[in-house]
Amino acid sequence: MQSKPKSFFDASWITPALGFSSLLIVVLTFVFTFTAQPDVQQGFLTRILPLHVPASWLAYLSFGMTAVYGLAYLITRRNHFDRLSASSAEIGVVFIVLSLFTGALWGRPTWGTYWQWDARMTTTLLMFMVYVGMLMVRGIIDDPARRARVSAVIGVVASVGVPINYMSVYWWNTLHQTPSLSVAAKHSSLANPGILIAFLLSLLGFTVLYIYLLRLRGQIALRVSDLESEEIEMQLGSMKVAQ
Amino acid sequence: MNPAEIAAAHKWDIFVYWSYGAAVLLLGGYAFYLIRLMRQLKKDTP
Repeated sequence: MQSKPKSFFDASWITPALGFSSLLIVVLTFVFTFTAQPDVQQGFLTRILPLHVPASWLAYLSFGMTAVYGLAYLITRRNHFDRLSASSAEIGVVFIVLSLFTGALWGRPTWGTYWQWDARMTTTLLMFMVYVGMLMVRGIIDDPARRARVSAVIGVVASVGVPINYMSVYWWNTLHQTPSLSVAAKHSSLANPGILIAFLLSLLGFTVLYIYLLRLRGQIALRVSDLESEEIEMQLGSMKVAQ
Repeated sequence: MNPAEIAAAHKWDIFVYWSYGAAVLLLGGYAFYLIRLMRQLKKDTP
């Protein structure tokens, strides 16, 4: 049998290349962050910005892509999109945990508290819980087709949390500031050139890391799905023999 | 500013290192877990 020709995106070297690129950019981010001058008001704590903000944005991207792939699955019923949707949700959970943790550490010295039930923080926690719930639901449904359908619907519906979370600082009176890019230049930590470069590098590095993790997680999901299909076939085979 | 005030102003700076440490552990740990899982699956499904 003639093997199917591989496309550029299937090339085996791309995944490790993405991994090394993200690692290199993240190391560069660390160099710029830890050599940046301290802020007049926040001192060295301003160095948390190049980590906290890109982690939050990548969580948005991951959950947004979860919905896009989920919708693509519901339209085409191709398992490929289901695997990508679930993988993106899992990566989003990792980024949102990082965002919550770094946010709490930044909040204690600047606001005087690790946590406040304000709109931004509460909606972030809710998003985390919803996507963990989605992954748990995937774990309890055995039928692959039903699991993919339910997961895709949750992924699409849950994505409404992304714009609500982003706009929460405008819609409600929150302790959390408005987005860093909306803060007036003279008051923003991004006016510091070192922090700005670190922030842009971090954003790039995390995006490349997201693509790397998505490819890797998608490839793992494909192998697990092949194993699952083999197992189902074996079970059906043994049932026929028993009959 | 006396030394005590300067020390008080910097007492939270350790949180910067905690944040970056958490990022390395979380993202690095997740990537490491996926790489190991992939290797294991490649071994089990030739």
